[in-house]
Amino acid sequence: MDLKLVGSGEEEVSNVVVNEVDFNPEFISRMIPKVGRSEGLPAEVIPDYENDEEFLKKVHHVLLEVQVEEGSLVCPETGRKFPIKNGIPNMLLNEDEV
Amino acid sequence: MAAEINSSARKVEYLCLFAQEHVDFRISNPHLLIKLPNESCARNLLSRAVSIKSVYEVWGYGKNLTDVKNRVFQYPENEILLYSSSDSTFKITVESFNKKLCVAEQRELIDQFEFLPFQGHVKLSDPDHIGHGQRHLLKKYSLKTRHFIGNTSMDPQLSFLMANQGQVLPGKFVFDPFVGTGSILVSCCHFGSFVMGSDIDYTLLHGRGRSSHAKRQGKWRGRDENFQANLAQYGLGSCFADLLVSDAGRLGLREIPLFDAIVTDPPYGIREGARKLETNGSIQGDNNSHDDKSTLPAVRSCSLSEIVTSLLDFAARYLVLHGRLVYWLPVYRPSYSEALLPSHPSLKLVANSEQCLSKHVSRRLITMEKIREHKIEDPNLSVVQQKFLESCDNFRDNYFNQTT
Repeated sequence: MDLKLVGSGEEEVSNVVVNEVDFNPEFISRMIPKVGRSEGLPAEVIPDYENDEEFLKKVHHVLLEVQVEEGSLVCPETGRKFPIKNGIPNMLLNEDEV
Repeated sequence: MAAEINSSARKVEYLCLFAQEHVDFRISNPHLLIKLPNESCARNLLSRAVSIKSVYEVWGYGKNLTDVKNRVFQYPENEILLYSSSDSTFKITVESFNKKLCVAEQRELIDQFEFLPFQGHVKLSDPDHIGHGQRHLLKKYSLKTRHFIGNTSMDPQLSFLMANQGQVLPGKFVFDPFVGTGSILVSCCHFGSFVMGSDIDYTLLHGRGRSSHAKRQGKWRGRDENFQANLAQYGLGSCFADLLVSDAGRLGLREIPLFDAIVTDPPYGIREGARKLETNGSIQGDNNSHDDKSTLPAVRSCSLSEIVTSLLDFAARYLVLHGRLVYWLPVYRPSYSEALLPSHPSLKLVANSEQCLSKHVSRRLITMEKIREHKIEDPNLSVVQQKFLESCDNFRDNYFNQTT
C-alpha cells in the first residue's frame, strides 16, 4: 500500500483552476519537508527557504492555489489511475485491488 | 525596575462564568476562579473559549456584603483606578445561580455597591473593559444557516471544543478521516489552521443526494452544496488544503508525520453506517475500467472496534510528535469504565469528557497526544480490550434494544 503518486502528464489534466489564496509563510515552510518532489514544484529545496519569500510564494502557488478540477493521479509503478472529479481525487480501490 | 518585577510577579485573580451546557467538558461548577499574570492573558483565553460567557477580574468576595467590602478596600487602589476613572464607562450586573432574582431584588443588591469608586458614566450596552467569550460564534456558525449540512454534521459548540482540544492554531495542518460535510474542519479553519478531509462517501463529498435541511426535506442538494462552499460562506476559503474520496483504513497517503492534529467523529453505525472497502467478497462484473467515473467499489459495514483501532494506528503513524488525536467514542454507559478505553503505546490519553445522549448511551470526546515516534513497519499496535470490544461492538444492539 506504499503507493507513490505523481502529478499526471499533460494529457491527464483536462481542467485546472487557479484560486487566489492568502499566503501563510509559516504553514508553507512547515509543509516543505513533508511534500514529495513533483512536477510544478521547484526541483530542489534551497537552503534557508524559511526566509526566502519568493521561493515560499512559488510553493504556496503550487500547493494551495492550483487546483486540478478534472484529471487523474497516476501511480508510477502500476500505472493505476485515480480519477479527479470536481477537484476531489477518488482514491477508492476496487475489491480485487485491496 | 522594582515596579516591573512586582507587576510580573503579581497574579490577578479572575472569575470565569460558564454557560450551563456540556458540563462534563469543564471543571466542577459554573464559576471557576483562576489566576493569570495580566488582562491580556485573560483576553487570550476568551479568544478561544466557547463555553465561557465572560471573565471578570476579582476585587473581592465573601459570604456577606461586609466581607466583600473589606476585600475590595484591600485591593490595590491603582488597579481599581484603571477601570474607575471618569473617562471609563461601566455597568453593574447581578448574576445568580439556581435562583432567579426579580428586578427589585437586583436593584437592592446593586444599590449596596454604592461604595465602589466609579467616576465614569453608566453604559448598559457594551461598556469599556468587558471580557466576553466566543459564544457569539455559535450563532454565526449555526447549522441552521449553513449552506451544506448532512445528517450528522457536528454542532458548532462541540466542533469548537474539539478544535480547542486538538490545540488547533493558525498555520497548523489538521485532518479529518471521516470528514462528511466538514463541520468539524469549519471550526478548525476559524482558528486559522489548514485542513484536509477524507470520506468513503463519494456522493456526500460531491454534494449529491438529498438535502438534510429541515425546510428542504426530501429535495435534491444543489450543485454548489459542498465543503468548499461552506468555507466560502464564512470567508475561510484560504484554509482549504484538500479533500479525498478514500477509505479511512487505506488512505494511500505517503506515510510520514504529516498532520498536527486529527480531529474527527467516526461513524458509529447509528445515523451513518460504518463502512469500509469490501476485501474478500465475490468479484462482480468487469472492474478493469478504473477511470470510469461510475466505478464505485463495494463497501461493507464494519464494526466500531475495527474503526477505532485503525484510527489509533493511523494517528500513531501520521501525527507529528506531540500532535493530538481528538475523536468521539460512543459508549454503552452501564458497561463503561475508563480502564477499558482503546490504547496505543504511541498515544497518551489527555482528556475524556462525556456527552450524554440518553440514560444508557453517551459519547465521549477522547483527546490523545502522540508521545513517541511510530516505526513504519510496526504492526497495528492499537489495543481494544476484549471487554470494551464487546460493549463497543454491541453498542448498536444496545442502542436499539434499550429496555428502560
